[in-house]
Order: sequence, then structure tokens, then C-alpha cells
Amino acid sequence: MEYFLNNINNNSQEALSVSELTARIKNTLSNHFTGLWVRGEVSNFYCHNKRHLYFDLNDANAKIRAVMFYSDTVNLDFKIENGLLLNLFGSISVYEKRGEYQLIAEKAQKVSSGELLLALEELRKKLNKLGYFDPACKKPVPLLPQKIGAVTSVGGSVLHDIITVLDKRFGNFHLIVRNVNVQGKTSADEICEALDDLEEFGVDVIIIARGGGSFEDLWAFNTEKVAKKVFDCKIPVISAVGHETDRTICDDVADVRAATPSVAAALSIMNKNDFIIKISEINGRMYKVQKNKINRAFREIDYLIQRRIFRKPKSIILKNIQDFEMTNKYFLEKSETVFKNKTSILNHTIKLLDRKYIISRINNSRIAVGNHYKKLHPLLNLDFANKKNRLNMLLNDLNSLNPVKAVEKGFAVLTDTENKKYIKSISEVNEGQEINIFLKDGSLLSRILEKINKKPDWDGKNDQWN
Amino acid sequence: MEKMTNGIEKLSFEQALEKLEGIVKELEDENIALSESISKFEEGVKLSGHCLNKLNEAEKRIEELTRTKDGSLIAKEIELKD
Repeated sequence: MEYFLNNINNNSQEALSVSELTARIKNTLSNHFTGLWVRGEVSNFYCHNKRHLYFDLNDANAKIRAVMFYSDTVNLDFKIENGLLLNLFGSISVYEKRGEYQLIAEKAQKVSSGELLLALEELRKKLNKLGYFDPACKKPVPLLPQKIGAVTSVGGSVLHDIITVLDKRFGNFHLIVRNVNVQGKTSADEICEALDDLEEFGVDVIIIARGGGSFEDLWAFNTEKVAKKVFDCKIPVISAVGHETDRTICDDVADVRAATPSVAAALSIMNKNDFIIKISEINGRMYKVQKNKINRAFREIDYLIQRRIFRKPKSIILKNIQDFEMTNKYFLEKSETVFKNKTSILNHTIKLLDRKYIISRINNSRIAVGNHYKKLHPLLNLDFANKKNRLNMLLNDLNSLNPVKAVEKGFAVLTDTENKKYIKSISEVNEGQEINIFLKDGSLLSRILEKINKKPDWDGKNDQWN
Repeated sequence: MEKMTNGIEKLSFEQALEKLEGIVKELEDENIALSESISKFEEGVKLSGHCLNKLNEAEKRIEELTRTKDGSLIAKEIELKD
């Protein structure tokens, strides 16, 4: 592969011719797939001029063309035919003219039973990994299938067995048989096709059945394609292939495995009598439980009837009426008081909100303020008069203290001659100093003859000075 | 009631049987009201009748399925020799 990949070009300018590409493919394949063994089933067998053998080798998912040239066929100790499982030894070659690759077989071996068993075991492992045998994938078989499908040989005793059992179990069954060859080269393909047909036609359960036979006879039921078809089938499949001891892959992939075709038939539908018994049982349970319920209800009614309300209904009703009336009265009284209170509060509030009422309130307030003012006014006046009298008295006092008045009354004022300073003490003058003596009608420029340091005695002459 | 009866007629055997078993279970529940149980019971009786009808409605038929030349599938009655 590396060779091929390394030499691939991806440039249109260097495009290979078909011959060149094919030559490279041929080179690659014959280099890498040479001298190998491959196993598969033969189909499309064709012998050209009784010399070269052409056929396809298949398994469930792939096929390869094979050719065995005359030179190699002479060594064969058996006849190659369709349906045979072979091990082929050879190499891959490319037939350029048709753009096909094929296996050039040099040796061929029939796969022996031992090898078949081994192959079967491998297939079983592979399918197990794929979950084909998983119980979780098993579909339940319906209780009462309207149509039962059967994949089997119409001519065989198997179908007879199935019908016999169905007749016994359920007289009015509906069976759809899809005839197949249950052995031989085409068997596996026919089984697959039959399953497809029954699925398309529509049945409720499918029985795949075959009588006993050799390991090789049962081979179709051990193929991967049948296994896959059964696994993919949307309708529940019951498989009964061979005798009880034979266990095919088809049996294991099917939703139900039956030991024999008769058992398969029995498993496909319940016995009609069993159905009838089952339904009767259910009915019996239903009647019984309902009867009990009704009886219990009657008992409850009986019990209730025993109660006082039914025995002395009048007294209880009267008491209840009394209770009711008392309660009613209490509530009526209570609610009346509450109502009255609320009403008066409400009326008051309405009054407060009334415009006329507000204005009259304001006027009342205004009058009250006026009255207060009137009471206050004389008090204010009185106070003022007092103050005025007091002021006049003070002014009189002040007048009487005016020195000019004293001079006019006959007192004298002494000043010095320079500073015109009042002389109030003998210490302010010197002997011989000139001073002015002011009287009410003029002044006397005088000279101080002597300071007599002795206070004059005014006592007894006070009245004269007032 | 009319509706319920119509519904039952359309049920498959399995559906009817399952429903019937469900009804019996419901009836066996102590808490179900008597009035409800009566209508359930009536339904149950109808279901069991329907189940019995289903058992008898089919006719015995054995047919072989083949494909015609135009590719369609047909089922033809077959007579089997003993």
C-alpha cells in the first residue's frame, strides 16, 4: 500500500493514463496478495471449454471472482460446484481489459466438517459480539396472532406437524406458509427471501422449521446471512431446526427457540381453552371483588342506619336549629354594636370634612384669638403709662441737678482764669491766684487771699439750699 | 358509555386482555369509590366479552404465500394431503 500511496500523483498535468494506473494497481495487488489461503462458498460456477473453472467465492458480506486454470484443475480430487465451502490457495491478479481483480486459484480444498465446526464456532463468537444472542433483543410473541407465518417446505412432514398442533390448540387459526428448500445450495437465500416476503405481507409471528438432518443438511441455518435476516426481522421469529439435539445459529438468533416444529407451533399461539379459562378466571375475580364491594357498601349503610341521626332525627335536628339560632343571635348583636361604633366614627369624620363646618371652626378660632387680644390690650397700655411716668420723674430729677439752675438760685461757680476749669477744691488753687467767680448776672475777677483748710459747716442751713 | 363501547370494539385481543387485567387490579384496590367501581366493572364485562369474540372471529385458513410474475405477493388456499 505504501508503494501505491507514495507513487500517487495529485497534479492534473501529470495525469496517468488508465493503462498506467491499472498497471500500478496490478503491480500493487500482485505484490501484496500472493500465495494466500482464502475460505468461502462457491457460486456462479462455470466451466469454460471443459478446461478452466470460473466461479465466485462468497461469505455473508463480500464476494471475489476466482479462476482455476486447467493446469491446476488436474490436481483436484473432487468436483467444484455451487454451494460448496472451499479453502482456496492462490494470488490476486488484475484482468486489465475489464478492470477486474480476481483470485488465481492454484489449490482447492473442500472444507471438512471439522473445519466447518471451527468456522461455525468463529461465526458464533462474532455474532455474539454483535449482540445477536442478547436476550434483551428478543421480541415477545403475541398471545393471539391473527396470522401465523411459516417458513418451511410445503411438501414435508414438518408442515403437517405444525398444522396438527395448531388444529388442536386453536381451531380457527390462520396460517401463511412460505415454501422454501430447507437444504441445498440455494436454501439460505430462499430462507432470507421468505422472511422478507412474510414481513412485507404482514404476519404476527413467524415459525422457521425444518426436520432433522445431517450437519451439512442444516448448514443453511448456520449461515451468517440467515442469522442476520432473522436478527433484523421486525416480526417475532420462532425457530425449530432439526432435532432437539441440533442447535443452529438460526435457533439461537430467533426470538424463541423451539425443540421441534410441533413445539414451535404450540409456542406460536396459546391454547384456545387456556384463553377461555384465563378470561373466565379474570371474570371470576372481577365479579367476586365487585360483589364484596357492594356487600361492604350495604354493611356500611346498615351501620349508618343504626346511628342516632337515623333513629332520632328530630331531636338532633332541633338541637342543631337551636345552636344555629343562638349563634345567629350572638352574631347579630355583636355586629350591631360594631356597626354603631363605626357609624359614629364615620359621621364624625364626615363632619370634619364638611366645608361649612371647617369655615365655622376657623371663624370660631378667629373670634377666640380676638378675645385673647382684647384681654391682652389694656395690659399692654398700662405698662406703657407706667414707663412714661417714670421717665418724667427721671427728667425732673435731672433738671433739678442742672448747675445753671443752681447759679440762678444764687449759687456761684468758680473757674480759673486760663483754662476756664471748674474749681471744686481748695487744692486746685494757690494763695494770691486770680480766679473767676460766676454769678447769675455776671462774674467777679477775684484774688485768693487765704486758703482755709476747714470744711464749712452746712448743718442747720440745709433748707436754704434745697 | 357509547364512546367506551366503540373504543373497546377496536382493541386487539392483547390490548383488551391487558385492559381487563388492569381493571380487575383497580377493582381490587380497596380505595376505589363504589360509583367508580361500578362503571369499571361494566367496562370489564364488555372487555371480557370482546376478548371471547376475538377468539372466535377468525376462520381457519391455511394459505401459501407466493410472488406473482408482476412481483406482488398473494396468499392462496392450499389443500394438504395427509
